[in-house]
Amino acid sequence: MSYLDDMPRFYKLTLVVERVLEDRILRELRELRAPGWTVVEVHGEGRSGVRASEFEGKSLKFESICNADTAERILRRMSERYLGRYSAIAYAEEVRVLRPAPFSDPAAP
Amino acid sequence: MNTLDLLALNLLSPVVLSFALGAAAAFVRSDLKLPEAFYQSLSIYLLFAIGLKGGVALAQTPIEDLWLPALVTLLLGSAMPLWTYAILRWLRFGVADAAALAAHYGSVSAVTFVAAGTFVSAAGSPAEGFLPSLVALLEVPAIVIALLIARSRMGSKRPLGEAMHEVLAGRSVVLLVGGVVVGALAGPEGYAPVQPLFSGLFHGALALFLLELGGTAARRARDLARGGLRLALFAIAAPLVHGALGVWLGHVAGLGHGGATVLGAMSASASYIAAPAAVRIALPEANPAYYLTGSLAITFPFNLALGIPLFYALSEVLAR
Repeated sequence: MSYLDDMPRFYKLTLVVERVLEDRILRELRELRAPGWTVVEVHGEGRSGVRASEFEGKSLKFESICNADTAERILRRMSERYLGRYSAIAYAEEVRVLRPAPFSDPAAP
Repeated sequence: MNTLDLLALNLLSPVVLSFALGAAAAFVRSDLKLPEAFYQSLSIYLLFAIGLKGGVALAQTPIEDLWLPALVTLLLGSAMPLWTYAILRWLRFGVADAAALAAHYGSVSAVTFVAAGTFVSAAGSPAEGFLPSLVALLEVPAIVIALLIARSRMGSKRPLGEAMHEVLAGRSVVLLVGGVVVGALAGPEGYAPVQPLFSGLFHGALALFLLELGGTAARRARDLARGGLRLALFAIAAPLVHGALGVWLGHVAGLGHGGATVLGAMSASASYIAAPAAVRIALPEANPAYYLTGSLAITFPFNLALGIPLFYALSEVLAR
């Protein structure tokens, strides 16, 4: 038996946002019922140049593994409210998860 | 003391020299940089210490000495963003950038306040002890007014509530106002045991803070070209006009020579702790290359080096 073949597919969303958005992104994730997330402090550089400002602290990277519906809702919200206005990027990758229980809860909006 | 002596007294103070050293280090690309957590701790310490000292003095100030300076401060804080916004629009800044700059230049920089207080004490005319309470009063109105202007010009779909929260619950206001309340309730006897930490170490901590601020300002200065001549012009003219007005109104409100100087420096200064956070939330369209570069890389060093002794000299003339 192959673990890899049997592992169900989910999406890993990654949101990299400037520090001032911390509370709002957390609120959105709760509201949109993301099953869970991991947050790390990161730093880097991008076209917006905002990161050059050392007053706002480091940027944050949110990672959340969720099903397609939830991923869709979160990406839509990011697009409507944050991308383009703030320095924020969002992307999704397909991942396979060994123990799917924490991520596959039905999460109707 | 003549103006040259005042300049020398100011430029050779450890506070100004530390700032210059920090800037020079950044200029030669030294690896000098305070760890972020230490820098944040220093800023918490400084803001709380300012509030505490002000609160202790406030407890000993009769209300009739207080209400007029407080009124004048509120007036300055509400009027400065209005004309600043109008002038910036006239200089062809966009609505978001003009409102962002108005928020910064109408508000106050606590470090400029402290530097002015240190200077007037060294020059022999210490300011009234209750002035930190005025810093707390001056900090908020301009940011709120500037964001309201932006909201009325750019449509109402702005997260104003969130920005208000950022201003009112931000560490800068909480520490200053909270410090004043704690200091006022504790009084001189209550303050005595904590005094070695909050008064004794204060100027040393300030010098360290300015070392880092000098570096940050110098790195910001690389954006000067993006700001253009009109930004440089504004960032020098605004503190001169606001400072002179503050000194004059300080005298009108009955502050002494030193107190009026410090109120002038407060009016001349531009915020870079409370305002940037609120503006970033509520006005993400505004370009930080304008408001951070203006307030931190031009106006702050200008006030620190030249503005404060200049306001002192003006205050001396008005006191006669």
